[in-house]
Order: sequence, then C-alpha cells, then structure tokens
Amino acid sequence: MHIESISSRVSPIFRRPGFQATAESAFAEAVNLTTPHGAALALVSTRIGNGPLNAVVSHSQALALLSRGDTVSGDGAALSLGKGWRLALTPAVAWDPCPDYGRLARRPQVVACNLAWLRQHLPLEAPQDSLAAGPQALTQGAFGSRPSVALVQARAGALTDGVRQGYQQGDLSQITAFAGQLAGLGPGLTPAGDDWLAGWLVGLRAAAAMNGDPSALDVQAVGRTVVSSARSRTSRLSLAFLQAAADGAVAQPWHDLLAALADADPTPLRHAAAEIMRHGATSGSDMLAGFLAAPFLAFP
Amino acid sequence: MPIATRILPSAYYDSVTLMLVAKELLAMPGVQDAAVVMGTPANLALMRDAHLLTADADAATPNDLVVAVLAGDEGAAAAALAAVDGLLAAGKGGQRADGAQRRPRSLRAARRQAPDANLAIISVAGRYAAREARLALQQGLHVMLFSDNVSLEDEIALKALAGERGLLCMGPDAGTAIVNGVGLGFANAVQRGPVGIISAAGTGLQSVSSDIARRGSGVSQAIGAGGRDLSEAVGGRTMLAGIAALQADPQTQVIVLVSKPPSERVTAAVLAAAKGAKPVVVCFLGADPGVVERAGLIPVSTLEQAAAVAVALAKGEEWCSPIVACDEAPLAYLSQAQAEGQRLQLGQRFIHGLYSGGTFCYEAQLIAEGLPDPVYSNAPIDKPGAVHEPPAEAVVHGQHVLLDLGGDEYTVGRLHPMLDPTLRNRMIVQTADDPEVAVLLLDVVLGYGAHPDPAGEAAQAIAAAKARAEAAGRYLPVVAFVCGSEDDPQRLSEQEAKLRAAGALVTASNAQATRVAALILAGRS
Repeated sequence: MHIESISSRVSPIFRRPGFQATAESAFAEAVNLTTPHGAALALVSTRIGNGPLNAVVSHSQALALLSRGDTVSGDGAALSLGKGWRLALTPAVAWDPCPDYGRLARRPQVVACNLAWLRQHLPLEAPQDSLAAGPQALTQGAFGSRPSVALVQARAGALTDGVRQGYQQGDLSQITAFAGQLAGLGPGLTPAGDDWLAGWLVGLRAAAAMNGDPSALDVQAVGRTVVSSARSRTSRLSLAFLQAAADGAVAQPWHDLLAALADADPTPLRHAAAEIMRHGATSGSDMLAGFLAAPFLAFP
Repeated sequence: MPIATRILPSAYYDSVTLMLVAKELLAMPGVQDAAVVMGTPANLALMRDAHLLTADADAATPNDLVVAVLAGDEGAAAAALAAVDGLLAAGKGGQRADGAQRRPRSLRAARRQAPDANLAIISVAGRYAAREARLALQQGLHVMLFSDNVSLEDEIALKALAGERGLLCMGPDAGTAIVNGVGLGFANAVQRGPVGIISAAGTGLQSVSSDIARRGSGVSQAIGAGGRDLSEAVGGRTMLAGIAALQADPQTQVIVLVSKPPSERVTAAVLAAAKGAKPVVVCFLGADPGVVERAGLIPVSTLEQAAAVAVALAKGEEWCSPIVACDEAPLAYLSQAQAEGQRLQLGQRFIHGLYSGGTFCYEAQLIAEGLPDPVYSNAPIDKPGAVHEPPAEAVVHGQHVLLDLGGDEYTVGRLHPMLDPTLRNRMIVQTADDPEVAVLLLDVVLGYGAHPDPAGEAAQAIAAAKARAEAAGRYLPVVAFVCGSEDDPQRLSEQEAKLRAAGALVTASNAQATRVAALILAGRS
C-alpha cells in the first residue's frame, strides 16, 4: 500500500520527518486528520481522489485501519498507521490543487452559455435540502421538529445577498459582517454556509480571470477577509477547506468543471457538475450555488 | 419541560447522518423536540430560536457536536441522549460501526455461504464487473450482470465464454429477470405460468410480465438480455441462448421476445432460431412487422399487445382479437379526454412526457410520431442514418417533449428515477410553468427494487403542478399509467388510486396513456 498522489498544498506537511496527526473523523472513503499545529489534512480513497488537503491512498482498505482518535505518524518516506502498516510516500505523484483559471478567458462566450445551463439546472438537480434548491424544501431536519432546511435557507438567503452586495459595493466590512454570520451555518461536516462561501471565492477567481477583474476589490483580499471572518465561527476542517478555496485550491471535480466550462461540448460539463453534486450530502451543490453567485460577465 | 444537552468534542458527521439521528430522537417516547448540529455560532443561534439552547450548548465550540433534547420528563430526555452514540454509529455515512453484519466480500466467500447457488448477480462498478462475471462463469454459475459501463469487448467475451460453458450471461445493464419464479433486480411479483419472456429492455420486460399477471396468466421464466445484446457486434448471443432454453423448457408454452429493432443480420438470426414448435410473439418496437410475419412468427407493435397476445395464445385462443382490443382500449377514455381537452387554452399545444422507464419513453415516441408536431427526446428513436444532436437549449420549446429520466444525463451522480423520484417530482412541478404544455404524461414503475411508494410521491407533485397551473390561469391534464402487479409490495390498485386521487387520468398501459394524451390534444376547443 502506498500514497498514489498528494496535493502540493499539504505534501510538505505529510513528508516532514517526525510528522504526526490525529484522526478527527473516520469514514469509509476518507479519514480527516489534524496535526498538533492545527493543520487539517485528509487520507482519502481513489474514489474520492485528489483534493487540496488530500493524500490519496492506493488501497481504501488502509482507511479501515483508522478510527477516530488514532495517530498517524511519518518519517518522510512513509506514513505509519499503527499496527505495523506503512504507506510509502515515495511513489506519490504531486498534484497541483490550483486549476488553470486563465483558460476561461479564452472562450468567454462558451463559458457564458455553459454558466447559463448550470444556473438553469442546479436548482433542479441539487438535493432539496441544499442552498441551491428552491424554497420548496420543507423537510424536517437536524434543528428540531421545525423545517430546519427552510430555516437555514431563509437565513442563508439574506446573508449571501449581503455578501454579494458587499462585493459589488467594494465594501470589505460588509463582506466581513455577512460572511461571519454565514460561516458555520448548517448541520454537517462542512456547513452549508461555508460551502457557499468557498464556491463564491472560487467563482470570484474564475470571474476575475474571465472578466479581466473589473472589480475594485482584489480577489485575494476578499478571500483573506472571508477566511478571517469565519475563523472561530466554524470547524477546523471546514475552515481549512475555505482557506484552500480562498487560495484558489479546489478538488479534482472542480478542475474538471472549470475545464468543461470552456468546452463547447455540453457532456463534460454535465458530468463534472454531477460529480460535484455527489460530494457530501449537499456540500457540492451548496458550493456550486456559491460559484454561480459570482459576478460573471453575461453574453447574449 | 427539561432540555437535556450533550456535547461531543471533535465529532464530525455528515449532515444526512445528523438529520437522521435528529429524526430518530424525535420518534422516541416522550421526546418533544431535538437538535443535532455542530456548535457553530450560526447553528447555536438557530437552536436559540428553536428554544433548544441551554447554557451547556451555548458554551460549545464549532468543533463540537451538540445534541439537545426537549422531553416530557427527565427520564425520557436521558434515554434519548443515551441512544445518541448508537444512532450516530449506525448512521449512514457516519463512522464505521464495528460488528456490522457479516456479508461475503468475494464471490468465493459467497459460494462458501451458498454452495448450491447456480446464478450470480453482479452489481459492482463497471470497471470491475467484467472480471467478477468472468469468475462466476468460470465457476459454472449463470450470470445476471446488473452493472453498466462494461465495455463492448468484455460483453462479447463474457457471452462467448457463457456460450462455451452452456451458461446464460444476462446483461450487462440487465435490470430485471425472473428465474424459476424468483424476481431479480427490478422484477415485479408475478405468478408462475406458461409465458416465457426474453427482453433486451428492462422496463419492457417489467411491462410485459406485469401485464400478463394483470390478465390472469403467469410467467415461466423472464430473461433480461441487456440493452446491447441485439446489436450487430454482440449478435443477440443471450437472446439466442434464451430462446434455446425456453424452447426446451417444458413449462413454457408461449415465448415473447422484446427489443428495440435489432440489425438486419441479428433480426434474421433471432427469428430463424425462434421458429420452432412453440408460438413466438415478437415485439421489436418500431421494426417492420412484415419481416416477423414472413418468418412465421407473430408481430406486435406495443408492449401491451405482446402481453395480450401471449395470454390469448397460452389459452389456445386466436391472436388477432387481442391486438384489435388493445388498439381500441383508449376509446373508452374518449369522453373524459374530450372534456379535459376543452379546458385547455389556445397556447397549450404539446405533450410533455417524463419517464422513469426508458422503453416506455421509446414506445411513446413511436406512437407520438403520428402527431402533427415534432417530438424531442433525449433518447430518440433509433433510425438508420439519424444524427442525434444535443439540444442547443436546456428547455425545448415548440415540440412535444418525451424524456427518459433514466438516461445518463439525468442519472450521473444520482439514483435512477425508479429508486429516487426527487428530480422527476421537481420537473413535474416545473412543467406547470410552461404555458405550451397541454398534457403531462407519466409512468410509475413498481416492483421489488423500485421506490416503496412511487405513486404517492408522484401524486404530491401532480397535485402541486395542477395547483400551480391553475394559479397561472391554466388547466393541466395529467395522464399516467402504472407498470406493476397486485402482488407487488406497492400494490397496483393502491398506486393507481393515489394517482387518480391527485387528478390524473390513469390508463392500463403505456401505449394507452400516450394515445389518451393525443385524444386530449385532439379535444381542444
């Protein structure tokens, strides 16, 4: 067993001699780790694949060796999972989590058409309890006997509008105020509010590449603002994903989506969007909703 | 009333698990309300609004899982909190629960558990499926290959191997079969009887077998050949092997073949093999019936006719009358259809069909070809030389639209609509916003593998769509049919009643439903 590929964002941490991390949560296809310094990392199966925090293990059985609270250590050449199991790091291929946003600028009209298709289909195909779904979702949820999805959606709707307006008006303080309330909103591993913010930051970067960045605000500054406002208001793991998105680092399906947006053939876009929507219960759809909320230029 | 709180530090679960746990807690005796969320300030604010926030919960951090239970008494609250660990461990997508039930993890282990088994159902990711199927065939097992995304080369090789060993390889992408009275995949519950079926189409097989049951007869064997079996490359290997098996089967008195039109060469091979001592009904949807007739077999043009003729033949009756009866059946709905049609507005001109069964969509297109306006489908009828252009727009205007929602473009990353009707339900409601839609046409598929209450789900969406159309000043007729039997877990009569209660006009077959939709169009003022 070995590590097949590893994000260049976390590779130096995994490869550091004396590496140590604790399993925060263990799922069949992913184990989320935290180092003593608070860095969030993940060991994932090939089915999950490359992501900004991920080291992809060649055999998912390796993940079955880990439970919450277990320690993973490393000596630079391999990771030890305890019980004598080692995952060699040397065969790991380095993977760059930042996609080529610049390609969107080369085919802006195709991108605009594909974005229109995505906008039309996302509310239809997203899970009902996602922020991307329409207001018809009234299922009972994690917040008690009242329709929690509607509660989250209603609150998130006002907050996401506030974040967008803040950007349009070039007002970082408004972004801070609304993003801070949006962060941590939602029940799961990465709350829906964080997913939306992450998608919006990726969308800002993509829109800036496509539009030639007409905004008064620097995308990186907005990213720093959002991450800073979310700090202490969401979980370590979710904050790490948000930080990665602020840096433009996203999982493989997002690389596929950005490539597909500039492709005149609609099939890859449909597959990439579906793959993103498969992520988590609603995370992928929430992130796509944030992405589409970015101010892309419209073409007739 | 007491609110009991429990904080689980650094415990991460996905939102589906948390919602399921909350739902389970709410169902426990004495529990009035419950929340299970990460302790972020945003979530704690929502808990405060729900009057579930305690001082303990308010002190939680964003990395803590917060469980709060409002109960009638302290005992009930404590019991609920005590159940949380077990519920989280059992939750789907949550952490692994040790000691889970032991299931064989390989074909070899499965054979050790069931040494007398003679058929393997393979349902794994496509890239691994061929290997597993090959192993099964090598061990002398018949194979039902449920998986799709198996390469054509692998399919040919597997079927050649099955042929060499005298075994049957059903599939790939074989969703339905009934073997020795045991329903596999999406099969319907039908009694055993004299009719043997071989079908390249899963819902085609379901339709014919359940219609046979509806007519009081039964099925000896039903073999799913897989959608590509009758292609030029595969050459109908499974259908040919199935024909030989059913010809030799003493219980089978009549054989029914169902498929889209095969290539000329494969058609000739299949028809030649089918000609034997037993009567054979051939339902090659959209194919030239003359070719079948000249081969000395009985051609039918719809799935309903296939069932009706097979049942008549099994009773020793002649086969022309059932075909005429099937064609005339929609006329029973004439006055109803005209009444519905008169309520339509001038701009409502097109049929909008949302199908969970691919064969039903295909059959409906064949019937709708007779309508004056063109028909758009994501799964168009195969015609020699036809080029299938993807639509330029996501929404198609100015045409009848018949969509196969089991197609790849609707199922990538989500369950098939026969299992999860969420997407279709939304599309049903959305249809009401289109002022050009004159009739909404639906199928509802029952069976062992299907959704436990598909008509109940569809009925809610139909009612919502009708209300939405009415709010926009229009009337929206809905025509539906249910593919299933009275013995199915969902019960045919109950499912039909739910659709009728929602205002749908319910017919006995897909062909009838399509023709009734056309009658409604014709009845416009």
